[in-house]
Amino acid sequence: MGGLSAAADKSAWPLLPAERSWGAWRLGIALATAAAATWCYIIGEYTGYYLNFFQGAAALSAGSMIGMLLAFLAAGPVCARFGIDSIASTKPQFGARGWIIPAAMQLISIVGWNSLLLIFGAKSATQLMITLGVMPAGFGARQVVPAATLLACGLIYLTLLRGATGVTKMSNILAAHVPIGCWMLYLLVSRRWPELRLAQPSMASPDKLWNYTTGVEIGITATMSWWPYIGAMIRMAPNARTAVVPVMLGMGAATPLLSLIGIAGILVLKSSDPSQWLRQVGGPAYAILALVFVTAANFGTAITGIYSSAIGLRNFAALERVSWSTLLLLTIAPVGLVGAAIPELFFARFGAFLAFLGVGFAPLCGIQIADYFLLRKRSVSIRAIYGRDPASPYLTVAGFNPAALLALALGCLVYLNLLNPLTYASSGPYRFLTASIPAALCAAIGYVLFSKMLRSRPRGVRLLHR
Amino acid sequence: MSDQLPAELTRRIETLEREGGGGDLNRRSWFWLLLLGVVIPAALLLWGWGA
Repeated sequence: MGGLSAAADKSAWPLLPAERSWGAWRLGIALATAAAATWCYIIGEYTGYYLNFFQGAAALSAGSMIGMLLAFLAAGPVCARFGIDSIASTKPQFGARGWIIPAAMQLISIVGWNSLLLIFGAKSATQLMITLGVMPAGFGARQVVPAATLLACGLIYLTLLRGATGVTKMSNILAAHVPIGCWMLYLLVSRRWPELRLAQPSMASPDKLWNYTTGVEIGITATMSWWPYIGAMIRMAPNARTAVVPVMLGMGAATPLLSLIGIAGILVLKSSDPSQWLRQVGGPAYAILALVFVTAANFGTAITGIYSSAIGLRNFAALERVSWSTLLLLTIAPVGLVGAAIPELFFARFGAFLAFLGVGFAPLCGIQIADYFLLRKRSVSIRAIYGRDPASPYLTVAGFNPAALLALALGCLVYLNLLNPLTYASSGPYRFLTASIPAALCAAIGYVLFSKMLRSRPRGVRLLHR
Repeated sequence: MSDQLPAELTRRIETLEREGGGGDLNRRSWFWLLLLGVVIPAALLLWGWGA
């Protein structure tokens, strides 16, 4: 973080080229640390409900990399060029006030993902303590999970008081958990290979293509919904070129790799939580190691998520001058609330949460890609993004761009028509196209058409550089 | 909402306008994006379907 001023570190202001010191390796490690958390196990678990190990691995890997491509093309170029976060990158499309819609989506996504992480970690710890006899049987998750979640929130708060420096230091330490995850996968695969090879998914549809497409869809929505993380991380890179491979491999490939643990676990041992099945496979020592891994992985990722969310909140004028510690508190509070109040309900609804993320983020990505590459042809005014001038080229109807709102609504409708997030009931084209890709495509086409119809394409956009 | 931008933010915007920010995607970037985001996923899907 050398050269990055304290003000920029804890604000949503653009970073100057001299402050963006993260090279490809550093960025890749930070992104892999952010991606490689226990949500991978749950993503793998849901894939393993529909597909066998080989098909699950292929579908999830392909979907993850497609989702990452869409998210990167949406926010990546602008964030990396100007050193801004993902929320700021939506002002050209949604308007000087309309960006609160993606900001709300970001908040829901990050709160949801991080609640999931902390609840998962707390459940793992509870289960292991009961298994090892440290905690009496019957003294269960209901009592421990809320307390453990709040404790984790407190630790994250203390770590992040130092701003992105805290993220960097944690990334350097916790990058080690990626090879540990690979070791756990090797352990399971090598010891249970005959069962794994023959294991059949428990909730598979008779339609094999539907199962396969659903595996791809899970991968797409999971990585695409990490759109907020992309901006918060790659703004530290000197340019868009440096960010491409770290994003696609660090996040897009690390996620399915660790998700294989979840697929294998649910297929063979009916549990995606390594702290439960590692005891069966390798004994208590391995279970303790897994728990340490789960805790560390969750902690690193939650730190990155809370940091990204806090930076995003800085875009609100009311929060611009609030102290960093207060902003952190505001960001962490919803996570603590979910973890303390409704941990079981939230955990049980992960599939619906994932699909709802697709409903929002697929159209958002489509709109941003169409805006940057087709309408603006890569010219973006950094002054207009931050300016409060009523004549700003990004100020449209009361600060909202109707073309973007209509396109977002169109994309959401397309998604909901193809896949019901609550029941996973789908309509015809879904099994060939997924729901996210058509939703992104329709939103992109709609945005271009609505922009031309409403003549809301910004005037006087200053060409900075390409 | 105040119309006045903080002085530090104004300085940053002026610096970026004067010096330019980081570079955009180039041909090499597009090669990697197509390889990692399209070609490899397509190959994985073909392999997985037959698995």
